Amino acid sequence: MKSQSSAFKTNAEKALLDTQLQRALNKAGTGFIDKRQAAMDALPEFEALRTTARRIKEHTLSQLDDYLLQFEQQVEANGGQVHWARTPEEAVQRVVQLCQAVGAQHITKGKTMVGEEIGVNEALEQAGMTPIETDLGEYIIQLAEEPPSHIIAPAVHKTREQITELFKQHHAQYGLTQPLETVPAIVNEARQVLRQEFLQADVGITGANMLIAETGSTVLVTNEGNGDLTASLPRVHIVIASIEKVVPTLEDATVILRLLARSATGQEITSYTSFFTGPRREADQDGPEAFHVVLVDNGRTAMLGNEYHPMLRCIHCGACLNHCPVYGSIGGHAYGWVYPGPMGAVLTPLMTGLQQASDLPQASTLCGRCAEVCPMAIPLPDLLRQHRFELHQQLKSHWLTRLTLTLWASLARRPKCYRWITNIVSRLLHTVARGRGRMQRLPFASAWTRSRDFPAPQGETFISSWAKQIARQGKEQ
Amino acid sequence: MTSARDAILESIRRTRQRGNTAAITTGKHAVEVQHHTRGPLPQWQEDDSERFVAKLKAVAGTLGRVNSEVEITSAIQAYLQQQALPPQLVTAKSPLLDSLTWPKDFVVEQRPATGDDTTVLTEAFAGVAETGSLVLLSGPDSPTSLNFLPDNYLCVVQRAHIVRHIEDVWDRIRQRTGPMPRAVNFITGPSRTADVEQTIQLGAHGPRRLHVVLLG
Repeated sequence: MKSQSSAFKTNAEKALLDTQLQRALNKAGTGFIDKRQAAMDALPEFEALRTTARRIKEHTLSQLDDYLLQFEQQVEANGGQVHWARTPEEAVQRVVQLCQAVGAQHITKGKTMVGEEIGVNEALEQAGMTPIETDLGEYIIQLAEEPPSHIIAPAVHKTREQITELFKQHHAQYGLTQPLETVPAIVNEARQVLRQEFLQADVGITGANMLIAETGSTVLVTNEGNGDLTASLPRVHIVIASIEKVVPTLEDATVILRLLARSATGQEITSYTSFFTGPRREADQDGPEAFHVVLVDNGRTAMLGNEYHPMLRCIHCGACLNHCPVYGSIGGHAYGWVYPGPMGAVLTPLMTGLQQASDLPQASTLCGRCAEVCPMAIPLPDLLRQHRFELHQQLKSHWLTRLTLTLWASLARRPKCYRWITNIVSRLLHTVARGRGRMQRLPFASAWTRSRDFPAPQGETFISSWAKQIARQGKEQ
Repeated sequence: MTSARDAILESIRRTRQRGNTAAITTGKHAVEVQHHTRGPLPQWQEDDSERFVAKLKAVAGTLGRVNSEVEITSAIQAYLQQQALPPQLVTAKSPLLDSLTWPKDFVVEQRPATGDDTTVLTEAFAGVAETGSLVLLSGPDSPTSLNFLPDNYLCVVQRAHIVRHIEDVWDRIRQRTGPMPRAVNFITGPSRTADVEQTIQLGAHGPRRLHVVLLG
């Protein structure tokens, strides 16, 4: 998928003014947050699980080559095939070849974020094969010709009215004459139409939530059952997975599963959690005849061992998106690429280049909620700060930002001078605000004051009022 | 030209500051995938089968209890009547399912499911008390399509097959002979979606209803 991240500021502004989007985001509200909290309250083992999960992932990453080889060996031992891809181009080329080799006419697809990352739909379409998305959210945005705006709820930015309209436009060909006014009607319509796709598909493409080295299994977590129909009915099942998804054992996978659904939707486990190991066995009456796993690197080996290494622990639960005040205000599309929210603001610059995604790490208040809720204890604010640091170092930030930061840094290193100046500025701003407590305009800060008031200081800095208080207490004693 | 495989492995090894240890032949790593250390396990007070039932109901599954094998068919007959469903079943094979004697008006077939089948009956390999999940293993006798295509999913669970944690399922699978089945499905309630305005709607692509017959 081509990145639009360089237009972040414009897109964020548009998102804030988009009334439909704001309605959808308001509707989503705190649903995910409340459900996650309830699940956590019912699981006193959460912290212990988080510690263990982190250890499992770190251990796996420290021997990633061994575990990937073990995984490959097990897939092959069970009759499947593993394909390795360094780049999105290599990955999609392989998927297209596999589909062409069986003369695929119909392709169904389960939700896969790495599939979005490598642009597998576009590549298949260029080769004359149109895959049908089967996750309802993905299907909706495929009708709308839009990318997902959330990693677990791809159509969270759509209102029901917009979805009704999409079905009206696109399902007339299937005989739909009346607008679908209710959620059950929408779900049922998708069920009926996609049922035909499932039954006639030659190839099913899914992602994987995990890969298990011990058994060569791929793990798929869904609620709709679309992933299982995609994986089980067609002649060929292709799994696209990034290399950091591997864990050593079924037990290790279980630890992470206990965190995944709870962090994502607040469920203890999703309706369907499936482990696929190779193609159908000799006496089996159904299941795919061929099982392929395409392992995608796309910049991940470069992250191993560097500052961004902790990001490789990510299990794509979406909790950081759900808890991010910036994501909650602008939605996912403004981020301009596949991954939005805090995890996206870390990953996008790494995968598409820091220069063109330079606004993403800045679009954070560093409030820390994302790190607090992350089931894999990824220090997201630190990683965002690291991007900012590199932007500054590589002279890729705006010259004015750099100048200001340099001035501020040199001032901050001279405490006496810093206090003296902040004291003056603080009093000055207080006087200028004339006791109103806020200012509508401020020199050099028009970007801030254009959309909101600047809170004026109370006249005295914290340090000086603290010093006074200490002095007062000294006298009283 | 180096293959993508070699390049990826090489690039991982560079970060590990070590050469090619050919671990796959030395089996060095095999230790890590063979000791099946469990992580922290959720705990509860109640009896495991009661926990299973409570968790099943919490995810919109329904339950019928029978004390002996002979009651299974009448329990299913009652369920079908209550749901106004025709007495037609596609079933999996198992010693228990094969031993059932169906009422005369029942049409019962053992085969994979098609898109037209309304009701399916399977027997779970295990029930998981922790989550209220049914565990189904694919195999010649239990085609996976049965689990996902029909509108109504009926499943017999023997009380003795209810395990406490998910990890107990792994132990039971390892105790069987042969490799991992092609598909291990943990099924927890009927199919659902919340993709339209976060409203939970049952019956997305898989079964709309899930009914468990608990035996014993």
